[in-house]
Amino acid sequence: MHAAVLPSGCSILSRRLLTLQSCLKPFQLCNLSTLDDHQKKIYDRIIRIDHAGEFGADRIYAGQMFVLGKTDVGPLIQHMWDQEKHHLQTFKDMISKHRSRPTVLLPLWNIAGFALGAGTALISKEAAMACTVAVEDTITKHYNMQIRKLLELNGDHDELLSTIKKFRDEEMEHHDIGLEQNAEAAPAYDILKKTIQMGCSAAIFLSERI
Amino acid sequence: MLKTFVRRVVLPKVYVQDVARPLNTVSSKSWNLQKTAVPPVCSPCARKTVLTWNIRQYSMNNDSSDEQQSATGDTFTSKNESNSHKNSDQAEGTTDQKDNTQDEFHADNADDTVDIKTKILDNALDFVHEYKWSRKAISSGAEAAGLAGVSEGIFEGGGEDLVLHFVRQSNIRLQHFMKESVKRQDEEGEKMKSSEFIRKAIEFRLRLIVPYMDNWSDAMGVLLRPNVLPKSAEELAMMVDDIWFYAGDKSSDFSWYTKRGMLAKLYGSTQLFMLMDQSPDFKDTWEFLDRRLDDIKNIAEISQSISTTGDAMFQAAFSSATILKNILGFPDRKR
Repeated sequence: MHAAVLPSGCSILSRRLLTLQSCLKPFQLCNLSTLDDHQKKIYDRIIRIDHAGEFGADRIYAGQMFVLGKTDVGPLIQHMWDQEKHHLQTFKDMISKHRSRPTVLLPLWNIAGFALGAGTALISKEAAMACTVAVEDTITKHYNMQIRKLLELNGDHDELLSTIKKFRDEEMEHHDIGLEQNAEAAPAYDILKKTIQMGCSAAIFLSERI
Repeated sequence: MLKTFVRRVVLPKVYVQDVARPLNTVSSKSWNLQKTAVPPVCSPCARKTVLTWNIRQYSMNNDSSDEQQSATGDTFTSKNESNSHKNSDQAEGTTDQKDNTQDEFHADNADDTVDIKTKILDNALDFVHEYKWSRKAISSGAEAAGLAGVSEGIFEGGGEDLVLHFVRQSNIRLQHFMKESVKRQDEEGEKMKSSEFIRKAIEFRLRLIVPYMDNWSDAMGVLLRPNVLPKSAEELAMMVDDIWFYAGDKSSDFSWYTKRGMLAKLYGSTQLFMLMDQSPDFKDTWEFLDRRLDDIKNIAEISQSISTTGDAMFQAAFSSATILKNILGFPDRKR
């Protein structure tokens, strides 16, 4: 049951990295949470990657707004961006509450997210929507996996679970908005979507660990 | 090697994932287990290795071996507290493990044997002045604890476990101190500034070294040995994170790392200065600490002003581009 918690194909090396990371986690005091060692490691990982993901999404929307802010699709992107900002703030609070460690690669995701958002927006409005669709699709699948892991984990994880479920629903909503806005008409939609999704998966893999 | 690769990398991908195996299975190779049938009670990060010695005749009532008074005059029964703290921490960790451990060993046995090690090392600290951080000190400690001198064999290496034990105990005492300090602040309603808090924390922690000042350079050397360095780095990281946590740090961006790195460097440099300080009550060291904290404050202010200047310059550059664009009559791009 515990092996199912790690992503498939998790080798001994990454397991060692996980335990090494948790070595960097401070000596927990009893009054903070009622999680045991194993659950604390899981929480640390989950909060780190979710924070990194929302941070990246925030930067992507910032890039899109930078280019498309004054166009007719601006208010819609602004609405989606505001929701992402709320997600980011929630995970920031969780980092300090659970004493989890943010990812080292945050500056990299800062630049990469903004570049991705601005770059796809410069191609065309449909490309920007295709980027939104791709990213939100990956994030939704990622959240679904986390929800599954948390449901399998023994103990009471209602707070984190309800948060992730709510955010997953909002990300799905963004995905649908992107499709409504004619994302599929973007140039090289399939390749663009696949490339962006591969990049997101790589980012998730790295930030879960580092 | 190919077999290991296949067994460890290829096969996990192929097999069904829902194998009911605990995450942190202890394999006998990595833990130097001396005998068989030892349960994987602890995570690799736990400070406990489990032995199969079951020293029942040894009294587990922690008798009142005097806790050293720290130079600030706080007396702790933190030995008992830290033991029970460790036990509660371990018990927390083991309740989940108990469901998954394969055999009939209870966590109690592990607690006994961990307490033995702690007891030996606590006693060994008294002999550091005579024998420095060595096996001889540990074996004298074992004898003082009522065991045979050869029980020092349960510790690997030279006096490394002794130094690490001392560092851990000091960090635990620092944690208690900080917890008390925060509680006092909450009760009195006064919030200490984080730089003030950090200064107090570092001073407290460095004063814990004072009784061992004569041998501390040896101890620092031991902590830098390649086999010990990961553990000592881990201890430093945990201590630094603890200090920032109690100082009220809530950062969640890259400054999380810069803050901790800066504090670790501050602690290291002050510790080094203290080694060579001969002034009464280490007055020069505390002044050195104050100067370093001032430096850090200045750096923070300078970087703040640089970033505001940078922002202003960026805006200025953009505004001239906008003005130029309007003059030349380029329309806004509509998509």
